[in-house]
Amino acid sequence: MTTITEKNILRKKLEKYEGKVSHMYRDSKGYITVGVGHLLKSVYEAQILRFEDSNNNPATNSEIKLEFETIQKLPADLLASAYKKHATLTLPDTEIKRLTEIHINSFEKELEIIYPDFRLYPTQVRLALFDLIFNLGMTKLQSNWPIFNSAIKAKNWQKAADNSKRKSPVSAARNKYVKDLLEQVAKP
Amino acid sequence: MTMNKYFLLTLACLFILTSSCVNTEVGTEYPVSWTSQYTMASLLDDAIIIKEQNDLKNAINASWYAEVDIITDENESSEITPLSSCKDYFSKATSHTTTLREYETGPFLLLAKMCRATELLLHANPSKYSYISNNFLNKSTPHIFPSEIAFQISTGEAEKNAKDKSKHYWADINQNLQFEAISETQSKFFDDGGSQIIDLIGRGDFNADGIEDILISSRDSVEDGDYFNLRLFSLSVNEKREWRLIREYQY
Repeated sequence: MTTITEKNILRKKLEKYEGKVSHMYRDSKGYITVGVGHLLKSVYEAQILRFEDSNNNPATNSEIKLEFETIQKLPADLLASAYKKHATLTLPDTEIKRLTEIHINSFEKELEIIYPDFRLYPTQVRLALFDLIFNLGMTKLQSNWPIFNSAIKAKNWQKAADNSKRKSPVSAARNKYVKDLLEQVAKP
Repeated sequence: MTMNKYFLLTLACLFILTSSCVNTEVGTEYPVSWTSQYTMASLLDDAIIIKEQNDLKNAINASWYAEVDIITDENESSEITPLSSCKDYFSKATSHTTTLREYETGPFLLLAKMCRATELLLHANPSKYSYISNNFLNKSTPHIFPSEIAFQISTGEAEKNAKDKSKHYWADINQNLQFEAISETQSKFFDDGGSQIIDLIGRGDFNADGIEDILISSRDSVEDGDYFNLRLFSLSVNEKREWRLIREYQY
């Protein structure tokens, strides 16, 4: 089970990578998104969230539908700030935090599927694996990283560190963060 | 040229290219062109009309829809530089440039890609020869495009593949790709967990050899992860229908 300390670290990391946006926007793939990278695949998925209007009153289903359709018509992959002037509804902080918790729990379950001993790994290894699954998704991490995955399963942390680098545009800082975590365990 | 020669030339073209015929007549010229996937104008603050090749100059100087803060290295002491136009981007960005806020990488890559495409189209030459077929973005494309187009995230796995002499083509690395045509200038290639959307941005002679080349981009993304990349390539094809990479452009 991920500890509260680990979850706080993970939440801050996700906010750094995804941003924390209280209004709807279109992400790089063109999907309507809100909060910390929370994808809204349909109007219904937006309507089940606790959006509020400018007076902090709960938004109605028709208001949410209208907002969704307005944002959908705008070009994709702009800075989130470019969508703000077209948005009237916001998601409260508590709701954003709740959604982020759900994402972290979901990623944890996926990591336990890929790595059956995940719960037994040192905190640093767990945090490194969370970073990779945030970035790559479960399928790519499971299928396209054979050298890295073999090293993790063999608990060869140094070899895993040496094979953890992701290509551009993943920042050098993000790659270093993962490598350092794994090396901390490899060289205690 | 006699009628017989025309007939034989036509047959040869049909045989080699199946879907299009190469025009190698002296005096024919293929102009530099761009498609609806060239979206620079929509990313600018000012309304700029880009109809002629010379109009592209205006897009270089025009203001973007918003400023993007970049840092030239990732040290905390690194100076923050705001970029607000392609001209800014060309003069201030380096190969070590990243956005100050990591989550602005995608929108920045789009601006950078369009700036680079604008510059390339502006300086491209009309072509004397063209061997480009009309529907070259199809399910067979991964089997004829070079391996550099393949979507790879792991540096280690990419280095291993680069050393493997048997991996010539995109499909040698990304196997079992599925294909979906989105439009004449946009196609999606995908497998479990990831996808590449290939956009045809423009055509022209980008390497001054007289032969028409293409400018394409690949939008690389994964399912359920935040990884996203936008890569820009120029490719050329010869009379034997062999595609080769001219260059991958780093932003």
